Amino acid sequence: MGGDFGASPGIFAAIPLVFGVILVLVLAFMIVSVVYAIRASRRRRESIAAIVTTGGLSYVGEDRTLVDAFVGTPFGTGSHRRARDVVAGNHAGAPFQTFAYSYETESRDANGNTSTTAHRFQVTWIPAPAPFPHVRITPDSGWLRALGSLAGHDLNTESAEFNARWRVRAQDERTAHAILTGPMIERLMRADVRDRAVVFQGVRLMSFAPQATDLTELNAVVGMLQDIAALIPPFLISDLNPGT
Amino acid sequence: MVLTTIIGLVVLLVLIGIPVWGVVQYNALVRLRNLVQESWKQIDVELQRRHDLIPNLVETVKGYAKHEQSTFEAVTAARTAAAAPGSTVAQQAQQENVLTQALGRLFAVAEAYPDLKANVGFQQLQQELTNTEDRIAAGRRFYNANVRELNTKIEMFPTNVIAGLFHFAKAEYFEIEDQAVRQTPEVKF
Repeated sequence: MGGDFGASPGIFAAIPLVFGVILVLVLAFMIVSVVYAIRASRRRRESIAAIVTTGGLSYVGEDRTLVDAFVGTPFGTGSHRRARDVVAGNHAGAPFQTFAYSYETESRDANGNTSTTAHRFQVTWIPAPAPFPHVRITPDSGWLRALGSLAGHDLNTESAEFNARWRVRAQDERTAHAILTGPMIERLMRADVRDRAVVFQGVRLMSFAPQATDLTELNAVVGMLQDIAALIPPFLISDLNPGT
Repeated sequence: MVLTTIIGLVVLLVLIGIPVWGVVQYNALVRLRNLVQESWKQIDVELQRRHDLIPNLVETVKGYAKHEQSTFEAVTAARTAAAAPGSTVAQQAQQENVLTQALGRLFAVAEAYPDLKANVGFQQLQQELTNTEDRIAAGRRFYNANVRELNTKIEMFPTNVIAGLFHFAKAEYFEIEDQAVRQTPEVKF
């Protein structure tokens, strides 16, 4: 009678080796990822520095007052909220400001392990021509659904195409309908606005999109906001400006 | 025993839940109906403002284009019809469309008279009329959105049961032609 169970002793000797190889591969992947992230971050900062220098813009590394400057998702959510790489200046004679906004959220899996996720957005705003009640025009896209549903009643316009692409929430629906004229809807349906949110909040007209960018599209985004501001009906600006 | 308890709970849910649901739906319908009425009143105010601007406008244009009598009469008649009380929403929309077309012809006449276009009073009236028409368009969008919501609620099951019981009627849409924003013409010397 023998104790041969049919398994070769060599297989058991190979198991530590396999684990070792997997560990090395994982470590290598982590190191490569970190190096890639550092280099991408440096490239981004170099691009921002170049744009700031050539455009005669101002730059501040971080501004804590901007963290609470806006309300509504993604602002006011999560922890470690920061507003960094704050760039300001003028475009076509009108002022603007842009910054990278980030926050962290924690989640717990079925085994009780927590993981932290960093969320980043590029926020750009210009002064609005009047103090507006809060109106949010957000694309019906994957990244927005990932942020969670927005509270409030979704406003529907007479354009089915617009309603399919955008979600509109407003503090005052009458004002929102006044903003959404035919030309405004046409402007919002153009490709350069796709996947960006547009928010009227007080004296700021703001747009945000996922991922902090290297600002190469800055002029296009500011130009888009200025187009939107120009399409606001004059009577609404007059009605919302006290004393005029 | 357990079955009796379950049946009792279901009966209780039905006896309490259904009336509560009914009250909630009734109140929602009332709120929407009031919103529709209120938003129509806002449009009515702007339509009235539009009607009030027209006599001054006609008189100003008459001062420069005395022989365009048929155009003035068409605008005056359309304005009288639109300003008459007692029209339904659909009738009002039709009357406003006729008035808009008549005004279009009036402004086309004004284009042929540079002195008229340079008249400050005429420019101010034109700007006021443009602003009023923009307000009407904005009010129309808000009103129609509320009508859409009310009518949908009245038609959909099971809210249509409550709507039918308490005689909620569907509202009419206000379908007028949106005027493109008319720019006040710049007078170049």
